[in-house]
Amino acid sequence: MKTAVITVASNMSDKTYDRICNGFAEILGEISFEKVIDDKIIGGFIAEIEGEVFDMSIASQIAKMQKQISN
Amino acid sequence: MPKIQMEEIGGFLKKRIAEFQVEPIVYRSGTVATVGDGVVRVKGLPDRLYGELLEFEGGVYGMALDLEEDGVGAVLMDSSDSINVGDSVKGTGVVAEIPVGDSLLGRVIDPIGRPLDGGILDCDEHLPCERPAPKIMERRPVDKPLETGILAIDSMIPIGRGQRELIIGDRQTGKTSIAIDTIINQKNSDVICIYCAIGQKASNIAQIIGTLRAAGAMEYSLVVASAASDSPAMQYLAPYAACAVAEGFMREGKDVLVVYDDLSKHAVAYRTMSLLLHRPPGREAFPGDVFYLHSRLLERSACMSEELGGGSITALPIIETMAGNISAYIPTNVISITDGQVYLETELFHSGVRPAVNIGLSVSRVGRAAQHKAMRKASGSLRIELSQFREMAVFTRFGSDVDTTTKKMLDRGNILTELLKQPKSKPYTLFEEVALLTAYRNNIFEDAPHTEIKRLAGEMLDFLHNNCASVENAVNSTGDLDEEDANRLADSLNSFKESCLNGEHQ
Repeated sequence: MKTAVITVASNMSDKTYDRICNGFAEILGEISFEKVIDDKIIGGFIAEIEGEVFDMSIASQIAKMQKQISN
Repeated sequence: MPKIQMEEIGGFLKKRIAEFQVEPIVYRSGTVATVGDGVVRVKGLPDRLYGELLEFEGGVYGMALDLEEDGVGAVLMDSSDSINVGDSVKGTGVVAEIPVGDSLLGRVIDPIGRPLDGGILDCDEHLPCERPAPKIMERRPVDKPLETGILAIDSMIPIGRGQRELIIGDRQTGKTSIAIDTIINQKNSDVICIYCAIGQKASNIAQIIGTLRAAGAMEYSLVVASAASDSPAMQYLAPYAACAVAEGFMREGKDVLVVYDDLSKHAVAYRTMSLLLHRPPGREAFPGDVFYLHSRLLERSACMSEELGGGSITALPIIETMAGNISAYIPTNVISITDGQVYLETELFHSGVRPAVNIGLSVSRVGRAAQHKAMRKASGSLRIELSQFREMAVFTRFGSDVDTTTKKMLDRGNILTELLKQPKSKPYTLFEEVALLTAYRNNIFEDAPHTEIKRLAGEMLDFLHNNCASVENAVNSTGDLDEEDANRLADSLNSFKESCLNGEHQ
């Protein structure tokens, strides 16, 4: 069975976390989840599934925005 | 009006932020398993490409060169100080690429396109460093000369646009000088020049850039530099990056000259990388594909057909030999790939023959067809004459009694040797080269003492600039010397000789 590692900030509610997990389970089928808490990401989440990373964290989005503005 | 500017900036920022869309950033990732000697083993990282750039923590880049089932072996572009075991590694999804375009002219960049001369690089277009060579049907024969401005080379070892001519010799024999002089001589032609330094001393690179700037050559040139302190991966990538930049220009139908200085150090950098990646060593510990390493690079030099714009890439790779041994592994490899070589000799260099070209061992396999008509007429059988002279000079070293024919041949040979000597960064125009060779043919210097020939040749050229300007313009613009002009040139030379005999040039 695949494992998805979901990194979230500590301020995320359990309800939101469950919604994220359900969303992935709907797309990918049977899957187990592992929760990692990292406040460096500020908010949002990062999901890693077997080497593929989906980064929806606030920290990365800000970094991306900074890059786009400075270009 | 600072207020308006503030509003402008605010509006600009607001617009940019409004344009920003929140989208998931998707990439593949792995973790660092081992780090050492500039080589990193990465666990995980599925679906990566061969040669893909990997981003490590701290903004360090690496190149994936060993693809295995459960991981990747990568070489680092920068120092490995900031990388720890367990760090995450991002796959960028792109192979190493380099910016291309006119805005690179005058710049100094590293092999992954970062400017080394300060400021930013304004380039929209990128090309991958590793690209396939042009196919057979896309090419056409070399038919246009690339003037080096060096008499010994233009007359006897002519180089054509699209040719690959190796410059080979021991250390301190003037290999780089020939390449740099050639770049400087492209000033009034339409050739774009790229100097690629591979594993060179940073002080040398700085000096070369200084020389090019001082000669005004940076306007149409650029430098791709990897210094001796850069990682082997950077040194390995440098010539491919330089070639990709050249291909960018060639695609637009331009003629490009690329100097790879030097490929011996490139082979050594590749050997370092291969050994660290645990690839099996072969002869002299080089990996098995060291021939392909250089052949795939030099095959990318080409003269493109008219339908494809008719651009060209001329390559001047440089190889450093040890104690004159041109039959070592890497020199023989590159000699067999290129279309000829200019062989420089320590002995000649120290006896004052500069450029120290050994004519006997130097050849150009395609350039003759591309030579200017005027030069072809003037040079004739120069090569054979010089070879015979060198042979005879060695022979007569043992005894002083020689018959008159031999003596005459030796005298002519000495005159030719003197005429072929040329100081650094003083390229001749086509007309000057043709005039010097015609003067030699017409025995203008036959009675002059050998030590005076250099001075007289200079005075002769000044004399011709003043008295033969119409011929000069015709030769330099058409590349041909018709019969009428040839007679006019011969007359001018004779009148110069007469004025010499009358004591005007003592």
